[in-house]
Amino acid sequence: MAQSATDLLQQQPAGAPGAGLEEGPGVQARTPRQIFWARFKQDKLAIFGGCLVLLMVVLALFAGLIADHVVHHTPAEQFRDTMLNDFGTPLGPNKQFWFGADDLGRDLFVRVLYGARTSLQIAIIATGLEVMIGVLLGMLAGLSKGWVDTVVSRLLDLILSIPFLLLGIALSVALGGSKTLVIGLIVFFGWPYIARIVRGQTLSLREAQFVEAAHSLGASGRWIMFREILPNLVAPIIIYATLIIPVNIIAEASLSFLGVGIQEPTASWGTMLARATPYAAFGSAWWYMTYPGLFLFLTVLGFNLLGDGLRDALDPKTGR
Amino acid sequence: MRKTKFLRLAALLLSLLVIAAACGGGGGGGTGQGTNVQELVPGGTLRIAGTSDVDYMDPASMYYTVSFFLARGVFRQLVTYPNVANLAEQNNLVPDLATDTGQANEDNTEWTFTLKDGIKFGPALGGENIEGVTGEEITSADIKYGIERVFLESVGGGYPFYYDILEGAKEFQDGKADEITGIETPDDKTIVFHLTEPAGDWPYRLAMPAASPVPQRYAEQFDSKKDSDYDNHVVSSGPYYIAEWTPGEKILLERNEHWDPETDEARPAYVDSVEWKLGFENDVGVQAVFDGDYDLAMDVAPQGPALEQVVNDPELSQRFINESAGCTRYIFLNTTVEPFDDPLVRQAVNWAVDRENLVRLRGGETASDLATSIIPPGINGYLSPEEYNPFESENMAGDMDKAKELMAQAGLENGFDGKLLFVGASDPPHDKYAESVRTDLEELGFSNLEVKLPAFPNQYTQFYSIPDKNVAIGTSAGWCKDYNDAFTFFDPLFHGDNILESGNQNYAELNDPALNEAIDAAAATPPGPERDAAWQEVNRMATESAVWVPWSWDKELIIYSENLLNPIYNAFFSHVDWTSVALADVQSE
Repeated sequence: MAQSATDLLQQQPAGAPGAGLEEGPGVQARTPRQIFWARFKQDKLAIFGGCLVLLMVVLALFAGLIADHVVHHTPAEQFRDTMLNDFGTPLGPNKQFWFGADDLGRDLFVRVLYGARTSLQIAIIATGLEVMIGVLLGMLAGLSKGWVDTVVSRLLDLILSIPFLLLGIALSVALGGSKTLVIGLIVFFGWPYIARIVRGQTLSLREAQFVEAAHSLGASGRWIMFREILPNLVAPIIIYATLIIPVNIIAEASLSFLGVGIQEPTASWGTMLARATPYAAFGSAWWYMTYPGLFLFLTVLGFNLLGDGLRDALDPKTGR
Repeated sequence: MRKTKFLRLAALLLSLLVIAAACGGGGGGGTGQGTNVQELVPGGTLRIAGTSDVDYMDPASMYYTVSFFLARGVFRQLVTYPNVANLAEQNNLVPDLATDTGQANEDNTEWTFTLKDGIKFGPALGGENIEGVTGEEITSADIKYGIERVFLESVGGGYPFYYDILEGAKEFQDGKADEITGIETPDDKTIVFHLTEPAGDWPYRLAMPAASPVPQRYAEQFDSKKDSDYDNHVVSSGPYYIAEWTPGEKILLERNEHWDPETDEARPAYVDSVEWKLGFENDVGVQAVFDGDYDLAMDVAPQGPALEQVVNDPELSQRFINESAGCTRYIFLNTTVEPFDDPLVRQAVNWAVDRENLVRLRGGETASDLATSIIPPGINGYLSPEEYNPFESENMAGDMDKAKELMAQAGLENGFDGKLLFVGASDPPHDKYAESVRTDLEELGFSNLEVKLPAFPNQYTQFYSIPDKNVAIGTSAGWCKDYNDAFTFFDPLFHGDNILESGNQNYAELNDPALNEAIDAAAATPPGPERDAAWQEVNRMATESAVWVPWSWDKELIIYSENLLNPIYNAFFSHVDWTSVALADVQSE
C-alpha cells in the first residue's frame, strides 16, 4: 500500500513535468519525508503529544541527576521521623518534598521520576522486542506460503487466546515478579499483533511488481525480505510501535498494581497507585495517588496523540 | 487492529479512573450522640460483622481467636474467665461447670473437680434436639470424652500438647488403651486428673475450648469415621446453640433453653440471638459497624488512614477499644544460617532495627506497644520497658553505631555479602515492615539479601515453618498467647526439643541447653510469684539470645455501634465478650 504511494511521489519529479503545470506555479516537488513533516506540523495535538513524550523521556533520563542535585533525596531513602505522622500516614507536599511522601516516608517526587524511568524502560524494551519478533515472523509467514505460514498463524491464535493477567499473576506467583518477567510477559502477548499486521502487509506486497521483478532477476529470499519488503513496512511499523508503547506502559502498571510486576523498592507507577488506594479510599494523602496517576495518564496520552499523529501523517490514505 | 484500539481506549479510561479515584473518596463518619449508662435489658439480636470463618466448630479442633470468640457462648468448661473489665482480675478463673476452680494435691499433679447440678446439653448444630443428649445433665464422663477426643486421629486436636501430661495420654493416642487412665470419673459429678508432671497452670488448660464436654454416646458415630464430622453436629453446652452455619457466609446463634443462668456466673447472656455475617472486606465492614448496620466488628478493624480518622473523631473514638492482645510481633534470625550463628551478629541486628518506625508503620501507639522483650503485657513473665530494655536506644529507633561496632567485633567490619533469604509478606503493612528492616540491614552491611514477600500467611506455611528452606531473616512473624502463662510462648517457640521438620514454630531453630532447662524448670514451678519470677528470668535469657527482634506488643482494635452496651474486653480470646453485651434498642421498645 505504502509502496504504491511513495512510488508515485518519487516518480513525479523525473516523470511528468505536465502534472506540475496543472497544479499551478510555485508547487515544488517534495520528498516523502517533507510531506510527512508538513502534515505532522499541522497536527497540533500530535505536537502536544510529542512534547509530553519528550518531557517524560527527559525526566526519566535525568531522574538520577534531579534526585541528587536538585532535591537531594534518593528514591529509597526513608524520612521516617519527618515525613510520616504518628499513625504512619505520609505527609503532604512541602518545600523539600514537592509531591509529598509515600507510605514509607520516601520522596514521592523522586519516586515518580524513577517510576517514569521504569515505565519507559520496560515499555520501550518490550516494544522493541515485540517489533523485532513480530516483523521477522510476520514477514516469514507472509512470504512462505506453506507450513511456515500455518504454524506461525496458528501460534498467533494460540497466544491471543491466553488471558494476559491470569498468566501474569500465575507466573509471578510461581517465579516472583521482576523486570525480566514483566518484559517477557508483555513481549509474549504483544508480538502477535505486530506479526499479524506485518503478515497481512507482506501478503499484498509479495504480489507487487517490484517484488516480481526482483524475483525474476534471481534475487534470493533474504534479499526480497530485507531489501524489497522491509523498507515498505517502515511506516506501519513506526505507527504501531508508537501506539503499542502506551499499551505496554499500562500493562506494566497493571501487573505492578496487582503486586505481581515490579517489586519494591524499585519505583513503579502501578505499585504506587496500588499502595495509595487505601489512603484514597479514606480521602487522606491525596497526593499519593494523584501524582503517579497524573504522570501515567500524561505519558499514555502523549504516546497515543503522537501515534495518531504519526499515522495520519504517514498513511497516504488518510484524508486531511 | 481492533484489539489494539480497544486496549488503547482501555488504557486511557484506566488512567482517567485512577485520577478520579484520587480525587474522590472521603465522607463518612457517624452523627449519633454518645451512649449514656443504661440498664442492661435482655433481648434482641446482636449483629456481628466479620471476615474470617471459624477454623472448626468442633471444640477439640478449633485453634483460632475467631473460633474461641464463638466458643465463649456455645461451649462451657469446668472453669472459665470471669466477665470483669479489669484485665488483671480476668486471670482469676471462676467455676463454670465445676463448683470451684479445682482442688490440687501438694505438687499439682492431681486435680479434682466437682460438677454443678442443673448443667445440661443443648441442641446440636442446626437446632436439632438429640434424644438422650439435649436437655440431659452433663456428667464427668462427657468432660472426659471431650479431652480424650483431642488425641483421636480422626478429630485432629488443635493443641494436644497441653494435655499430653495426663497419665495414659500417650497410650490412648497410640491406640494401646481405650481411655485415658489419668482421667478418673468415680461418679457422674466428680472428675480427677492425674498428671505425669506438676502443672500449676492446669486449670487454664481446662478453660480452653478443647476441654468442653462432648457426649460420647452421640459423638462417637462421627468420631469413628476416618475424618470426624462432628464439626457439623456439635452439641452446645453454653447459653447459645448454633442454629445455622453457612461456611464463609454466616453463623446464626439462638438461645439454648436448657441453659440455666443460675449455674453460670460468667455469662449474663443478655441477647436472644446472634447474627454473624462473614466475608466482609475490611474497610466495608468497618463502615458497616460505624453506620450502625452491625453492632460489633469481629476481625475487621480500622487500619492506616481509617485508624487515624477513628482516633481523631470525637464521636467514633467513643466506640473504639484498643487493648493489649497478648501478641508479640517479631523479626527472627535463624541460628543455623551463617552469620546468625554468632550471637554478636544477632545482637548487632537487634541494635540496628528501627523499632519505632515499625510501630509507626503499624499505626503507631494506638495499634501497638513498642516491644522490648518477648513476653507481652498481661502474661506472667512480662517485663515492662522501664524495668527491662537490653537494646535501649533513643525512641527505640536503633543505634547503628553500636550495631556496627558489634559487627566489627564479630569480624564483619566490611559487612556480609553472602546471600541471605529474607522473607516477609506482601500484604500491607507487612511489605512496609520488610522494606524498613531491609533498609536497616543494608545499612548495617548485609549487601546480598534475597527478598521474598509471599502473600500472608504463606510466609509461615511455605517458609518459616520449614527448616529446610533456610530462611535467614523473617520479618512477618507473630505469636499470641493461648492463656495467661509464658509457657505458651517459650515452650513452642524457644525450646530446642520443639524444632520440627515441618510445622516448626521455633523459627530461629535455637537449641540452647541452658534455656531449655530454664523453660522446663519454670514450667514445673507452681503458680504464684515464684513461677512469675522464673518466667521473667527465661524472658531475659531468651531476649538476650537475640534470635528475635521483638518490636510490637499488639493491641486489639475493636469498634462497635452506638447500639452496643457494656462491651467488656476479654483477654482470653482478645475480643469483646459478646455474652456480656446488651443492646440499646431493646430497652427503647
